[in-house]
Amino acid sequence: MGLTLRSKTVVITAGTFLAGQIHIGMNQQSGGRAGDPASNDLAKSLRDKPFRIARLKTGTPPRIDSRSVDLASLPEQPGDTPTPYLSMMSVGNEHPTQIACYLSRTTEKTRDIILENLHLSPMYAGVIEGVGPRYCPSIEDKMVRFADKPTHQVFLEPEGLTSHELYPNGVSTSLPYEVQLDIVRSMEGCADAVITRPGYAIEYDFFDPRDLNSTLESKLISNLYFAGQINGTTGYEEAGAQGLLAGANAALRAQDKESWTVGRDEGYLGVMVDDLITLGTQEPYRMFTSRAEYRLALREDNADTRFTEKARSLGLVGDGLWRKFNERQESIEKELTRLKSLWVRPADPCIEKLNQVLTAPLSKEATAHDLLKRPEIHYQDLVEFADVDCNDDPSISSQVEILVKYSGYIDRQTDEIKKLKKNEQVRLPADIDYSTIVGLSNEVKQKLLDHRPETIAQASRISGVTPAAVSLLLVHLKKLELTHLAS
Amino acid sequence: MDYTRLFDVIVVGGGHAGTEAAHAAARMGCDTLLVTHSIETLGQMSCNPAIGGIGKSHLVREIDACDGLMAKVTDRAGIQFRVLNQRKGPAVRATRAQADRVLYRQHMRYAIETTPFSNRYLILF
Repeated sequence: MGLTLRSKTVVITAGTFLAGQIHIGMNQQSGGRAGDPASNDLAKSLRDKPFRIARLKTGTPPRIDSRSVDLASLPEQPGDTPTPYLSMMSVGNEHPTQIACYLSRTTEKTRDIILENLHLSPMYAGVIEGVGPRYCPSIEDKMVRFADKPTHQVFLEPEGLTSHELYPNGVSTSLPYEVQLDIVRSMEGCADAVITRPGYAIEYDFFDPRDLNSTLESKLISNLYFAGQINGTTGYEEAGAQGLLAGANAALRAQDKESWTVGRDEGYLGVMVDDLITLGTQEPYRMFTSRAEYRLALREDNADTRFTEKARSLGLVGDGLWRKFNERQESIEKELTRLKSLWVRPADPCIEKLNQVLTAPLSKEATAHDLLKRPEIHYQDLVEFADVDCNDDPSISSQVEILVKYSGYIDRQTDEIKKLKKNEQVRLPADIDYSTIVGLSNEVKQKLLDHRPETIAQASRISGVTPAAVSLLLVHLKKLELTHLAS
Repeated sequence: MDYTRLFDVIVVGGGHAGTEAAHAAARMGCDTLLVTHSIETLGQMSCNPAIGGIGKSHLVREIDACDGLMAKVTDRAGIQFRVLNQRKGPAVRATRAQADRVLYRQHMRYAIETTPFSNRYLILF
C-alpha cells in the first residue's frame, strides 16, 4: 500500500512466508502456505542486510475425507477422562465436544509405492536444498531410513467438529498428487480414501539465530526482534514461546526498562533460546525434554512457580491470574505444613491397613510428610490408610506429592550437574570409535562422527547430544583409561 | 487508527509467534500494532491441528504462566486431550490436545481483537 509505519521496536515473526517455495512432485510455486502468498519483498529487503540466511524445509501430509475411510475397521483412540486443561485460568467448562482419533497403518504396499517413486520426490531428486525436521520426517524419509520396518503407525486425527477432513499424522509428503493418492489408499482402512487437499513440502528462509542475543533482539540491528520459525524452529509452541519473549522484550525496550531473559534452569523457553543463540541449528529445531539438563525442576506442573512472579513484575500478568497464583502457592504451603504436623504411630488403629501398602512395616512414628517420601506411598494412600484428611483440590495434593516425593531426586540432580560441569574439561581422544559405545542412539553417534568434538564440553553442546549421552561418554572414557592401565 | 503516529511495538506476522508477541506487548501497556497479510488467518494452524506433546506442552504451560494466549485458546478449541507419559515421572509428563482448526482461529482472533490498550491490526498486501 506504500504506507510508512514508525515504531520504537519491531518484532518479525514471518514463519515460513519469507521467500516460501511450495513443492508438490516436480512442480514448484511461490507461497507461504497452501493458498497464501509468500512475503518476497520482506525477504528481499532483509537479504540486503548482513544477516546470515539459509533455507529450511518442512512438510505437511495430504488431508483425507473421513467419509471415504472405513473408520469402523480401525482402532479408536479416545481422549482422557476427565479431560485435562492447559490453562490455569480455565475453570473446567471451556472444552467443546470431545471426539476420538483413529489408528491406521502403512503397509508393505505403501513402502513399495514410495520406493518406486522416490525419483519424483523433490527431496530425493535434489530440487530442495533446505534441511527438513528430523523428528517429523516425511514418509519418504521414513521408508528410506527404516527400510526394514514393514509398517508405520498413522494416527487419523479429525481437523474439527464442523469438518470431514482427517489429518493423517505421519505421512507428510511432497510426492506428486497421483502418488499421494496411491500411498493413502495403501493404508489400512483407506482403500477408497478421497484426498481433499494434497500434501506438500515448503522451503523458506531462516535467519541464523546465532545473530540474536538472549532477548531475541538482533545483534546486527538494535530494536529489531525475531521470533518463531524465522529463527529455525518448528512447531506452534516453540513459536508462541519465542513470541512471548520477543514481544515482552520489545515492550520493555520501548518503555526504557531492563530486558528479560530466561535461564536454562528456569524454563524450556530458556533452554530453547540458549540452544538457538549459542549453537544455531542445521535442521528445524524442536523442543524435547531431553534437551533440558534440569528437567526434574522444569515440569509442566510447576511452570507458574518458575514464571508467574517474574512475569507479573514485567506487567505481563493480569489480576485474575495473579490472584489464582497466590491462592495456589498459599494452599501448597499450608498443605506441606499440615502433612509435617500429622503423626502416624505404630500403635495407631489404622496401622494394619497402612503396613499392607508399605514395603517395610512402620517401626517408629513418622509424619505424613515422611511417609509420602516413600516411593510406594501416594497421597491417596495417606487418605485411605492413614486417616489423613483429604485436601479438596486435587491439583494441590498432586503438587504436594510431587514436591515431597522428588525433593531428594532434585537435590541429587543438582549435585550431578555440578559434577558434570567439572567433567566438561575432559578431552576426547581423536581416534575414539563412537559406533562401539553401547547405549548411544544412532543420531548421537552420527553427530559425534560428523563433529569430532575435542572435549566433552564441545560434545555436550552439539544439538541432540543429550546429558544422558554425555554420561555414557564419560563412562566409556573411564573404561578406556582402565584398559589402558591394564595393558 | 492513526497510522502515522510512533508506535511502541510493531509486530510483523499474525501466526503463533506474532499473536503472542503482540498480545504480550499490549498487556504490558504498549501502543502495539500487528501487521499481517490477512486477518482471516490470525492464529492459523498450517500443519497438524494439535498443541502440546512431550517437551512442547511445557512451553505452553510457561506461556500460560505469563498469562499468554496459547493454553487458553487450546482449552476452548481442543476436541481431544491426552496426558502422555502418564506412567513415567512427572518431569516428562506432557499434555497433548487435538484442536478444531476453525475454533482455534476464532478464539485466537477474538483474543487479539479484545486486547486492551491500543492493539490493532493492519492488513498489508
